[in-house]
Amino acid sequence: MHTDELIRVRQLLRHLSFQDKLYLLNDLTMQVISERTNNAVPPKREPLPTIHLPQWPDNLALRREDLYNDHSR
Amino acid sequence: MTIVAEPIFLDTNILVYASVDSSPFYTSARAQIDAYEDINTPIWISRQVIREFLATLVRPHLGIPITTITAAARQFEVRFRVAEESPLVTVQLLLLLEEGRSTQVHDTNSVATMQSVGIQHILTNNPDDFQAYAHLITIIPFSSNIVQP
Repeated sequence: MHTDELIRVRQLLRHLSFQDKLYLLNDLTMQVISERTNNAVPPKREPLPTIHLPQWPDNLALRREDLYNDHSR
Repeated sequence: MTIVAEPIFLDTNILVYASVDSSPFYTSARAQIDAYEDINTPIWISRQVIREFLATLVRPHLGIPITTITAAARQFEVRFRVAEESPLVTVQLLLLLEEGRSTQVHDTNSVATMQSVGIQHILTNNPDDFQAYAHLITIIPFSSNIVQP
């Protein structure tokens, strides 16, 4: 996009309502985040951690309803 | 084994299996993570997942030193991409809950987080917990990815 187009967009934005600006801000944030997700440089491949437990506990909370003690749902 | 090249989200249970050496799925969970990374699949977790990983293992009866658990969390934070708890997550969470497909707020928040960063695949050993959102995301059951010797 050329500089003059950018300037026009900025001028246009000034005339928008607060709600419209918020809407566009959300839209822009979503687009930027999505681009970052798809184009992000992979992090350095560090070794996975190992935690030593002599025995695997059979009562480990591995579902959220157990973890949050949320059995009412 | 279902290995996708598109960004994938690891559920908390995968991190637990992959890190605790007496886990019945220790080797398999690590192998699956490696398999995704071998084909450069972007692997994501979230702040919620890190918090739940801590909450799962910081139990007095387990007797794991807290610094061992926090060190593991830091390693995951470096190894994987971490989705932040942004205002977008809350916006998505509220919209998803309003759809009325599920009242499981914490699972729904994971889906909202995935949506906020544009991730469509989740690897989990609790596939049923995400079934309500199968129209939005692709659920890859961990058990279906285990390679039998």
